[in-house]
This record gives sequence, structure tokens and C-alpha cells, in this order.
Amino acid sequence: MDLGRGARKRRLGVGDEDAAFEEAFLEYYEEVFRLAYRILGSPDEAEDVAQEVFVRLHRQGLSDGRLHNVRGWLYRVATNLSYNAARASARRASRQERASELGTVAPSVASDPQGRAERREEADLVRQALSALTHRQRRLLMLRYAGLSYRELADAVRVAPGSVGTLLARAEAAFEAAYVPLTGIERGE
Amino acid sequence: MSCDVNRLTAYRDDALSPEERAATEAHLKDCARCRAELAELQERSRLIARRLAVLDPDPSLTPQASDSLSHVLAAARNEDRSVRPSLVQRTKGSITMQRNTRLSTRLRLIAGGLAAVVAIGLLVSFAPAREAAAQFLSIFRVESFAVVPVDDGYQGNLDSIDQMLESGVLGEPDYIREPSEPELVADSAAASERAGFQVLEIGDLMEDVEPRETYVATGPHMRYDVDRATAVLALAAAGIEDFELPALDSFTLEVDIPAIVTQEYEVDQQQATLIQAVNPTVQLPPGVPPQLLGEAFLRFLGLSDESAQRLAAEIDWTSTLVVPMPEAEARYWEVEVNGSPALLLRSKAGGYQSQPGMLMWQRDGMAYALAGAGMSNSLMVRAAESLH
Repeated sequence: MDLGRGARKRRLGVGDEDAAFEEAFLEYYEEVFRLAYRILGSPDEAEDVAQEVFVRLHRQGLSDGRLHNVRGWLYRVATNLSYNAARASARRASRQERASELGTVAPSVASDPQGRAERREEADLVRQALSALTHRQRRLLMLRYAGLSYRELADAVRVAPGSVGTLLARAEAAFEAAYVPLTGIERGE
Repeated sequence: MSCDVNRLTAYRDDALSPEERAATEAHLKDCARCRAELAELQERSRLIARRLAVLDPDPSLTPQASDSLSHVLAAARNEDRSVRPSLVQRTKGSITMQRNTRLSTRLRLIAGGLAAVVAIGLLVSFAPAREAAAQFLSIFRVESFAVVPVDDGYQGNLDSIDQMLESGVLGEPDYIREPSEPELVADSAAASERAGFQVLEIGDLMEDVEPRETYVATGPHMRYDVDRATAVLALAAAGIEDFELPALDSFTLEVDIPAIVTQEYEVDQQQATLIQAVNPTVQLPPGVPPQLLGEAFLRFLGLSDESAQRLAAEIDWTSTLVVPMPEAEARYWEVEVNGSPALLLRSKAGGYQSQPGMLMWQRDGMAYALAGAGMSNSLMVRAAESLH
């Protein structure tokens, strides 16, 4: 069972549960957080989701070999929980508020206010474009960007491995088609 | 090899086997169109990566794994304790909620039938049906109820499904965690410890309330693989022949009910049973629009396809527990328990005072059911509201 990228493999036996969990946690926690953050835009919400993902991993257990693709599993659960949380937030927010509420960047970043505002606007547009996609397309793009392999993508989004190429291509085309009109830029910029 | 987007995208993303890669490269040497297409795909990938990069968190916002580990481990261990049963017995692989032999036959029939259908209802009610593509559900939360009156036909459907389950034709779910038989425990405190959640008790009412016995059972965590052939069979057994199944060869249902606590009371010299459980976690596969499954469920209950389609579209499957109501046998009221929507069902059989009734509601992630014969509606609601 592959716990880490590259050659770091361990043979697991009964009683190795804690060690396996710790290894998976240290390896993947931050990237899971980053994925949740990209979807939610809030560090607190993202951290809640990331922690919940690993609580579930712990419950699932690693040492009995049931989890063949930990990274794919983590990303699948993280994506689901993140989108669930995003929907719950959106439901709570009033109808007048824009979806960009989810794109708030925490104020602790010490960059210039102008730059921050611009970045937030850009993030809003990206999220808006993403919202025009189907769920599967949205997830494929986010997870591919996060660096998942096709095999991991197939696992995380639950599609046949042989179809990932086509689905990803369509997702990319759909995203560009949605994004470009939002920014008024020329195609290819 | 023709100019295949699937192949080129996979090539771009380095997802091909060595043989496939070699074959593609050989083709690219000779095919200008493919080279151009590949270049476009590469450029697009760069563009999108740049665009998505604005979503990244600033490194200062990202928590360190080493800092978070102990906290998460503690939270994880706390959860685990609640699902690991001390005594696990193999039980029949059918989907039922708590069965209690002390309930009267009538009530047990209603409870059993309803529980079975509620369990099926739980399997099909879940997260945003409003959206186009498929969803996973992580947490199922009941906020309201939708009662669907059904006639006797549905009982026949239930029987056929039951028969099929028995015969093994529908396959068996795979138990990740076995359900246990209800175990008698000393008191609510012991039950709370075993169940992993705070077990509540009926409080002081004007009438005499005596807690008698408390049972704790571990609920199942199971995965059920359904292949197309089986799904067709199940639908046919329910008399649904013309249903359009989604284009999947098989899919997997996953249901997790951590613990169920049952308490027997004597209220005003009548028997009452209080059931409490954590709202189950239901996981469903993508490619299956929730509304579609909901529609199948409503058809199964005996609605015409028009009604089923219409109602399936109206129901917010994210937060509604659909309860079939055998009109001939029971009636219902929509009430409130401390502000939460609740459903009160009562059997039509017998004199008013002795008709068994069941009150169901949820609060703070927990599901509750109070069943009793000889308790008036208002007494049931008061008892439910008195939980502490």
C-alpha cells in the first residue's frame, strides 16, 4: 500500500495503526488543508474540514489494507466535506450576498491592501467560473491542479481511469469558456 | 491512431503507460494536427494552473501538520471509542432499526414496517438534489418530514423485497461494522458511555414516570454493492418496469449508524419506549442523481410516475425524511418538539386511548423516536420535550 510519494513504503502489521496514521497525517495534512482552503476561502473552515477528514481516516483504519489509495481517498473525502461546508455556508448567507463571500482572504496576510483586494477579486472570478461547471468537472479541475495522478483522480472522483483524459479535457474547456467572458480578456492571455 | 483528445490529454499529463507513450510520440512525429492540438492542450493547462493559483492560501495561513497532529488524534480517538462495541454478534443481514419484543404487536408492525421503510428512505434521502450532477452525502440531517400516503399495495412491495432479501437474490451488504443485539445496561450513564453520546431521559411530567430498562446496540456500518441486474430485479419486484436507471454497471451504497439506545419506561402505568441514535451517515455514489433515486423510492411506495416525478422534484432531499404513511392503518400530525419539526403517527386500530403512537424528531444531530400505547398526543409531545 502506497502511503507516500516516491519510495517510502512501510509494511504494516496489527498494532501499526497509530504509526500508519501519523505517517499519513504528516504527509498529507497540509495539502488537504490547501484543497479545502481553495474551495472554501476561509482558513478556519478549511482547518475544520481538514481535521474532520483525518478523524475519518482514523476511523477507517489503515493497517488492514482496505485503503489502497490513501491519497485518493483523502482527496475524495476532503472534496466532499469542503463542498458540503460551502453549500451550508451559502445557505446561511442571505440571497443578496454574492458567492464571493466564500472567497474572503484572511486579514493576517501582510501584503499591500491593494494587492489583496485585487487577488480577492480574481479569486471571486475563478470561483464564479468554477460554479458554472458540473460537479464532476469542478472536482476534476481542482484535484488535478492539486497534483493528483490520473489513477488518484479516478479514485477521488469515482470515474473509470480510462476516461479521465476526456473528462478533464472537457472540464478545462468548460472552465475557459466560463472564465474568459468574466474577465473580458482576449483568448489565450 | 487518430487525434484522440483522451489520449493526448493523458499524454500531456504523463498518464500513459510506456508503450502508449511511445506509440503516441511516434504518431505525433507524423501528425501536425495532433501536434497543434497537443500544444493547445498544454497551453490551456498552463493558463488554468495560473488562474487556479489565486485560490491558494498564503503559506502563513497553512497550519503545520506537526502542530495539529496531537489535537486531531485526540479528536479521532474520542470518536472511535463510541463505535467499537464490546460485544459483537453476528446478526441477520437485513436493514432494520431497533426491534423490541415488548412493544405490542400492532405497534411493532407499524414500527417495524416504518423502520424498514424509513431505513430505505434514509438510503435515498441525501445532499443537494437540486444540482445537476452527482453528489456524495457525508452527513444526513433531518430538518423536516414529508409524509407520503400509501395504500396497501406498498405493503405487498415490501413483502416482495423482503422475500428477495431472504432468498439472497439481492445480494448481501458488506458489513464494515456489524450491528449488535441490544444489550441491557445499568442506567443512562452506562448507556452514554457505551453509545458515545449523551443519553437523555424523559423528565418530570405531571404523570408518574419510571425508567425501567435501558439497552444499547451498535448500529451497522455497511456497504452494499448494487449491480444493474440486481437493481432491475428489485424494481421489477416492486412492479416498476419502465424505470430509467442511470448508466452505471454497479454502484455502492454506504450507511453508518453508530449506536442506538432504547429505553423502556412506564408512563402513567402504560408502556413507553424511547429510541435515540446519532443521525446516520449515508454515502452514495456519483452518477446517480438523488432526485432519481427519490423518484424510484416514491414509485416503490406506489405513486404513479407523474406524481413520483413531481413530488421528487419538490422535496428537498437534503433535509427531509420521507415517511410513507399507510393511510388505511395510521394517521399523522406534524408537530413540534422544542421548536424542531416532529412527526406523530398513530395506528387507526383499536380504541383511541389504546392506539399505539410514535413520535419522531431530531435535534442536534440526534434522531429520536418515542413510542407508546395509551399516551395522548399531547402527553407524547410533553414527554419528548422533557428530555434531558
